[in-house]
Amino acid sequence: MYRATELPPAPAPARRRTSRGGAPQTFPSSLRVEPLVQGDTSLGKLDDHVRDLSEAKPPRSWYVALVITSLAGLVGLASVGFMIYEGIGTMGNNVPVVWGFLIINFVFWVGIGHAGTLISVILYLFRQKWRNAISRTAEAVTVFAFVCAMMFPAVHVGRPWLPHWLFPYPNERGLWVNFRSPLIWDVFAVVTYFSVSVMFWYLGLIPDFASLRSRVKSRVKRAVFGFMSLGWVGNARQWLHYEKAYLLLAGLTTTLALSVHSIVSMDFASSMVPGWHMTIFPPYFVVGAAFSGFAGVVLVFAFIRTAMRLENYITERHMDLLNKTVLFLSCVMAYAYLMEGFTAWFSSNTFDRYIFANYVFGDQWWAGSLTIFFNCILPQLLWVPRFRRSVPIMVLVSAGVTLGMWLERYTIIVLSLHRDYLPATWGTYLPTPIDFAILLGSVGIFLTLLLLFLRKMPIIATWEVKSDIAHHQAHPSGGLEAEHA
Amino acid sequence: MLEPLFGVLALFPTADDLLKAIPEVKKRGFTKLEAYTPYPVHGIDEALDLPKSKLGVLVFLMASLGAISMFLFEWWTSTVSYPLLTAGKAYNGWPAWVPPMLEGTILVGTFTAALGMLFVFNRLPFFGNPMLRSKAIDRITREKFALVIRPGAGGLDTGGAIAALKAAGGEDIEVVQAPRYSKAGLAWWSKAIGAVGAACVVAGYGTAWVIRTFPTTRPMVEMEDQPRLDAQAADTFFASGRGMQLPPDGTVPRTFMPILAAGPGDGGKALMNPLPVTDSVLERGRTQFDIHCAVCHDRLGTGKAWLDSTYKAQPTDLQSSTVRDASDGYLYWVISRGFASMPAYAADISPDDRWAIIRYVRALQRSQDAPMRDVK
Amino acid sequence: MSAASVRRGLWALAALGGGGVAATYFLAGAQRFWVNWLLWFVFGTCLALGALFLVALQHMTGARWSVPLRRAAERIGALTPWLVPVAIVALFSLPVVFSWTQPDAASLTPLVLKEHWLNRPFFIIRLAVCVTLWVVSYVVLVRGSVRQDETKDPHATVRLRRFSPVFMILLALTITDFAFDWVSSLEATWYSDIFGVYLFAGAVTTAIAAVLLAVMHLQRAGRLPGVTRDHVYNLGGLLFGFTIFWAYIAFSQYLLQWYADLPEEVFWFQQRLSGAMEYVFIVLGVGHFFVPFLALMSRDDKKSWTRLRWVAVWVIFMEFVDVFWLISPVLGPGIHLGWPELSFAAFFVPAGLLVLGRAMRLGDDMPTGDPFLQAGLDFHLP
Repeated sequence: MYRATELPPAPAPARRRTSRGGAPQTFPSSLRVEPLVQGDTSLGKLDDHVRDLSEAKPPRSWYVALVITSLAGLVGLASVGFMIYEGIGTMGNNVPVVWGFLIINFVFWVGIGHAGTLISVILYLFRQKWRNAISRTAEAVTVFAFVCAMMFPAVHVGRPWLPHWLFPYPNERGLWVNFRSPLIWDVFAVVTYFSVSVMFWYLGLIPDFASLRSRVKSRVKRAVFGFMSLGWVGNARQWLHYEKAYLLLAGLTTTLALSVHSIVSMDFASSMVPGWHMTIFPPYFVVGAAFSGFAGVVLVFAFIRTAMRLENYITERHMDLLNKTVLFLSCVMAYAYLMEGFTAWFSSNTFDRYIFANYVFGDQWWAGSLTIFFNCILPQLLWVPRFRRSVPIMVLVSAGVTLGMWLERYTIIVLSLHRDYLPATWGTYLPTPIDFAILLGSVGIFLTLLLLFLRKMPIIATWEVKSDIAHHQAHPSGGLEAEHA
Repeated sequence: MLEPLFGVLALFPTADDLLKAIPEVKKRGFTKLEAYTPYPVHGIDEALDLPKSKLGVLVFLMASLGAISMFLFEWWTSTVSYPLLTAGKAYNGWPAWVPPMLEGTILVGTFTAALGMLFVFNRLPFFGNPMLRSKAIDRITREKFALVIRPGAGGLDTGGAIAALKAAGGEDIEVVQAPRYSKAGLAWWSKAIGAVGAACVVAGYGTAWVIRTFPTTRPMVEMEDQPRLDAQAADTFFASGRGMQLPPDGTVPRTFMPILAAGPGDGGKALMNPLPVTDSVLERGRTQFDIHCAVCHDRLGTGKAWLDSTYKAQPTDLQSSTVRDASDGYLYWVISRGFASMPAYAADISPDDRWAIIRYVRALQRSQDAPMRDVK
Repeated sequence: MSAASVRRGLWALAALGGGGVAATYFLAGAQRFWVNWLLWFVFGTCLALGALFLVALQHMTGARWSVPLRRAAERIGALTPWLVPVAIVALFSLPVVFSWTQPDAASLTPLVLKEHWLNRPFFIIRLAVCVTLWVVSYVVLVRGSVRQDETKDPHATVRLRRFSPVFMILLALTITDFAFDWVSSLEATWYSDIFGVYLFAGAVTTAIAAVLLAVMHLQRAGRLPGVTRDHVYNLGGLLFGFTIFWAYIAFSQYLLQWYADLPEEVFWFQQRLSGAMEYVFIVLGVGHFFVPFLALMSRDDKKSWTRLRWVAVWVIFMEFVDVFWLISPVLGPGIHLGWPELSFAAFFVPAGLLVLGRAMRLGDDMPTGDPFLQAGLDFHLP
């Protein structure tokens, strides 16, 4: 992925006369590329920094946050328990709107979970070095988001104590799962995605465990890291196979990431419900997932970048690139919304036409309208280069996108279901406090796991960033490094 | 006794230094080299003439296998083992099987890539690696680049190796000893067989336990536990003290026909079969016969069903001349009232079905004793 | 064989094909003629827009490895102005092959409900807007880059980078409109909202294959000094990726419409899956996806130029089969493949090659004014 030797700098075209204006021109600053590593750093210093982050006593605010989030998580789990004990009548689901908050949250969290894979894997395939510093945390976001996501269908199947019924195992009833059902595709997709994400995450951690195993002070960590590193020694032969495996995994996981949210979208799109049956759903859901995932990662880094003194490794340029991606994805989302609306009209199917008008002008007009505002209009702020580096703006936009993507799923699920083909069955949907408590609980569980990760684990893939640092040390001038080469 | 020698190690500050040192050391005749780096350094595999990784081939084979077996599995369960008609799709509606097949392929492929890399190609975990006991290992995984000269077939000239590494710019030269226990261990393949065997045993017992335990475990009693009155339950609401109330006197079911329902009292001599001989009647008769009668009388009416050997009473042979000569009414009477050890079927088979069964029995008799003109 | 004699041969073939094209109109009927014309119009548009997309993609991402190859893509994008006459002629097909212009359209409720979109004036305006935008984009993107060869002005790169996101937005809208108008509205009651992306995926795949061929051709001729196997390898990787993308989009569309089984949708697939067209469908699935997928899977595959050349030619042919599968069933059941189709191919293929051959002399062989050219030439595979 990286070469030890580096490209010679391109001919410096500073102060060149152009035939057009005739005035002396300087080399445009926007073409200059900032280095991916900044400040005084070295391979060893990065190691120490990452080790210290996982060993130092966390600040008081971390404990406060942990107490709050774990309480929220407990409230959520208690609500789930109450709901199972008392029955699903405690939630807002009803007969036209059979899929309520639980499925909204499931799709939402699966979407957030795509961040890690897309950042870590697709950018790897495109040889975007800027992924190196953020990939580990992004992968953690994936794993934790999937922990939350998997809870919802498990609860929603109605009898969560029979989870094995979701899998095709030989049984005395001679029954098999129905492979023609998109919901079974979902089981395969989500289970595969979760196990592959965990494995991919662990694979990336092995060299880091190896580098930390003897340097952490805590004896428990020494033993755990030592065991988890499997006796890794960094032999060139090991790296050879390791990188090959990484590349193969990247290729396969890209396909996986595309397929998982496509399959989630097919839960909706293979039906005939107006507003659900849209052939654009698979790619549109994948883009939506990436969109919310990138926004989630921006939120995480906007908070921890300065708080954990990561500025040298996660530079303003990283945030700039992340925000550019958010902007790009926002435009693709706008295209998808436009196509949905247009095709609903173009289909000349009166139900489709009605349901899409209803998204924006109906009884719950705010859901559709806010979705469009948060996902398509607000991120347009990021066209301004200054805003892409401004923490308040990026927090505003990313929080807006996260909320907007949740509302999008609300719009798709609730607003489509509550107005179906038969006006006689039209109904309405009112979430109950239990619904909100379960949503809050999933946020709590996610943040609790994330907080623990940030203070207990190597949060930067040091072996990947080390090559950036080595490159930076060999070519400290910055400027025209071949970032994509 | 001296510990066997693992090799001579030198550290280099940067990857470039290491890459420059390799050909120099090689020039001095040391060819068995190993490099250790904190991150993957490119160009080092060519410098050391490392063969390309064959992992891709393994992953391709396994992933293809995964795809094919998943597809066959879906085809088999959905069309052969448990054909289920859903959404008006053909049994082998292959487009629906592509998504799970894709997931199965990726699952097998990714796990082959990761586990194959770790266990097959890199032979990890390996905590007995002599390098782990070297002084330099912590610096290697942190920031330094190491070159190790391993002994060849004829041993290693330690002094020459140290000199060569020094000349190439190596620092912190260290002679790494191989601990003896690393030699005495089992061969890797026996470990692998042991590990796979153990995994199979654990997986087998685990699966058996899950399959045996879970389907019969019911933490929730589900809908059985709900406020309701069972048929025989007592209840204080009504004066009768019963949960279920008796019908008022004189109530009859809608299709009730007293004589025909219970069976006539006179041996049925006066009764005629009211049903015509049609395909649908015979078909109905066959269904009912196979459900109620065939278990004793056999599907052909021979009376030699599987009960024959285990049950003392000998079911009547419906092909016998006695039955053949008996009137339809008589057979109706027997079905309704029972005969010898055969119980009464009035409560189980509706009058029309009884007549249909008789029509069917007549057809069975004809089938076993067909006159020549039927065959022609 | 000298270049001049090749050119003469192409002219001769095009003249022969032109005769066949004219004969088609009179002997095989106007419908057959217009369907074939649309085939080549759509195919050519896909190729040109795909090439412009690749150019803009490079500017937008700031990729460097592809800088030396950009001129090849820009030159293929030079097909764009030639689309104007083809498009103007294609307008005459409106009353003949489009279902919504037929006399019975007024009695079909679904068509009446969308007559605000599918009416002739608006249709022509949309085509005019699209073609204008494409030509303007071509001028800005390609001509601007060619001018930079002279001026060596790095600010031109900045301008191109600023313009490329705008172009992407325009392209997304116009290619979707193009797909809905010129392909989907042939069967105007059918609809699929992924259709624009479907055509786009095929277009980019073809364009990458065409750029691959052009780059390998120029490199062999010694006109791209410094371009190595590594650059071509990357293009092969892109081709592989977009092959998967096309298959993903195509399969999603098929799966969802197959699954929901709505009469207003599946009739379109029934037309394209009945009778002999089913074989075309199978060829498309195998040829447009499995063949390039398996042929480009391993690393070594993407390093073999012989293989890449065959795959590139095959992919371009398959894209044509795709367009054929989309458009030709308008003529009714069965495969409509005969001398008219051969004549059209004999006319458009040499004509296109002549245009492209001329375009291969556009500007320098590499964007010599681009400040990142050297960085791009220095690219090596890790």
